[in-house]
Amino acid sequence: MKYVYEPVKGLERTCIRNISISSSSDTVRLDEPVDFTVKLSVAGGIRDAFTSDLWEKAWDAWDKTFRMTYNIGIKKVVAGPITKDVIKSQKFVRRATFYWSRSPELNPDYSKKIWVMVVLEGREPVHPKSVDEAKTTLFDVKKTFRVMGSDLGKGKHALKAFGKASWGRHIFGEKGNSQSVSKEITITCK
Amino acid sequence: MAQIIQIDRPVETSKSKNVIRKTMSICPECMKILPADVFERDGKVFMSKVCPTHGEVEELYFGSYEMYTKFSTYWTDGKGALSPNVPIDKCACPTNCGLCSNHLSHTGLGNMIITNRCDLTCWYCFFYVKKGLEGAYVYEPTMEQMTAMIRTLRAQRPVPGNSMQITGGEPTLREDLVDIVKMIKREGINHVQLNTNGINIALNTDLALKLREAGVSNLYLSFDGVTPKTNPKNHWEAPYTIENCRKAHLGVVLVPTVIKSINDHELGDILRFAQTNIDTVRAISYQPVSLTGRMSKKEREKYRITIPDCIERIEEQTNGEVTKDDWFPVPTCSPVTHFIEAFTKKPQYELSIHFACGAGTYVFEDADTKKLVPITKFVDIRGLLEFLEEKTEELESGANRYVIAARFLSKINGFVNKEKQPKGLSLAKLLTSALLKHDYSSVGQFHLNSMFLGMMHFQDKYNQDEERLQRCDIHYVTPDMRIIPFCSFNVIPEWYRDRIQQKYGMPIEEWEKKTGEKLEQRLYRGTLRRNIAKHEMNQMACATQAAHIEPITGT
Ligand code: SF4
Ligand code: SF4
Repeated sequence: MKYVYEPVKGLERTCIRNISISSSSDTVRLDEPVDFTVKLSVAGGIRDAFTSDLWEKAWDAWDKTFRMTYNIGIKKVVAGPITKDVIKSQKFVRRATFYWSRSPELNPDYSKKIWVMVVLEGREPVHPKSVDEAKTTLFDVKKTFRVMGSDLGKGKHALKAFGKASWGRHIFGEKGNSQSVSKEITITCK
Repeated sequence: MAQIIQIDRPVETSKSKNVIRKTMSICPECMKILPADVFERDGKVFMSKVCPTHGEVEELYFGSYEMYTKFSTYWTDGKGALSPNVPIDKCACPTNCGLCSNHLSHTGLGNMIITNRCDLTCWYCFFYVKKGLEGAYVYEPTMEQMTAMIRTLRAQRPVPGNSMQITGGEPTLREDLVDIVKMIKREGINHVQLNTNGINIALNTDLALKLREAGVSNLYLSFDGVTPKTNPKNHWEAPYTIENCRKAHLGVVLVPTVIKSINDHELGDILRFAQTNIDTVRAISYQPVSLTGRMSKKEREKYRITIPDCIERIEEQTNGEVTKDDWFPVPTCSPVTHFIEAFTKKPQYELSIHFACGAGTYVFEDADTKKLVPITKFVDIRGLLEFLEEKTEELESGANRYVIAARFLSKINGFVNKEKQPKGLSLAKLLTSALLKHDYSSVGQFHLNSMFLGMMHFQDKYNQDEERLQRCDIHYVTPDMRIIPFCSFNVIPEWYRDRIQQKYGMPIEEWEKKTGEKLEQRLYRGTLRRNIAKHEMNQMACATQAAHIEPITGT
């Protein structure tokens, strides 16, 4: 196979940025649901490098898919940075497929143009129209978790969102991962 | 290329459309290369393109947007052919076939035409050679030419061609057919398929055995319906063909060309017919019609049928035994191939055609109920594919292959529902042998009381999509040592099929003089139809005149 390993500089500086959690209400009854929205973005290294140049380099080396595995969820806070009990979490994959596009818009001089398609969790395909849209589709995550008050228990609770993103080794860089937790929010369950 | 190739700039055609993607196509009138939109409307997918000279052409591309979306998630590009026969820089499909440096799939199935003579004279077919036409020629490559063609295919890298279809005309008209098969096997081709109307195999009881002994793996038998009206070509002969293959232990693939309003009501019956012959019929390859020749939009709408339409009809006509959720696009195989490549660190044979070109599924016959059970009923296909993708990534990231093999073994049973699995089949075992030990001998077990249902929608000038063409893996080998994608070879015959065959063929008179035979001497005289009532024959005649369509497959 045609492997020419050429790591992209700064890939190790990939990080999770802007992780946040918000709730649909500050108080909830035991028999009521509450929605928590967790947002995060993968930033730096891989996001910066994720351009059509990188897609072409990978494609040329038969390295035609890039998978981002996310593990995202909500935890209870015990004290400060100490957390326990994952209340809800979800592990999922977003897959970018690099392919030779014949779109005359992407490729007005009819030469080779490697473009990307992203398949979201739930197998929804997205055909991004720009490099920025491709980055947003692959690296910006927003998930809503529905939790019953009874799952939290009576009382006041401090909660944090956690997020981990990981990827495998590719022609353009080593495998890696990044994780982060959000600031805490509180919710009272009556 | 003698023609002047014109390429047009994008024209604004897509203002009010829900455009899914943009691609390139051709004008069906003048072959100018045009930008095209693939767009959604009313739950279906269409293609439109505008020729500055001949105006806009809009064509049904895929009969279900939902299925298009599902299929598109399996899109992956293949390894291509690293040993191009036409080295070029810029890509102007379909003018440089091939294979040119830009082609994206190695040969999955190579086709070699060994004659353009036929023993039938289907009125709608202009593929076979007939007397009375100006410039008519007989094309029959010599053994030396054929050997060179096979060697060209074997020279392909990174994956040498390994699967061949002998086709025509009617290939059984060649006296040296058995020698041709032996030569192909000698040159190292594993799988040899014979595309035929089956009549000579029905008539000559020992031909099937001779072919199998020479190395033919299966027949690719034209079979358009279960009544004389829908299958005038070989309705009376096909049962004899299958019987002779049964005796010779030679597998058969039934190949219906599906035409809306002509035989699309019989897709379920074709499946039932195959099921009654499940010991011999290994597969059905449904082929939604490719509309060749000039046709008005109204005519095209009457006959046009696409892969999702056929899949939906099969669901209706089997009372839901085979549903639309049971079908997957051909590149679904890619995660399996990629896993084996990561495991073995060797490039593997890969089916990397475009997701809109073909689909398939496996069905098994339940021993007790005799109902057909699609593979999806007892295997979590998506879960398995996602698991393989994850393990491929781990292998490529440096994980120990023995650790991965152990994880594979511990997980594989979780994807198979043993309760629902047909008796006598151990899919988990079979996958373990194939994926980890690369022992494919047990794959034969898969064929026990099972059939592969496949579908391929060959393109035509109305729906031609260069993104599909560039990924084509059904190719023709030609005496000028080229390997030409099927949908270039047949869709633009004036550039490829006819031109090449004329160059390497000879005038009919010369062929007759050389062989001492008359062209019409080998025509089928209906021996197996002699006792059939006249009114049934008349019915056949009505059916053949109903559709003005040329099948694209030759036989
Ligand atoms: S179809 Fe393939 S071989 Fe033909 S011109 Fe296009 S890329 Fe080249
Ligand atoms: S023969 Fe036509 S339909 Fe089949 S893979 Fe090739 S381009 Fe697609």
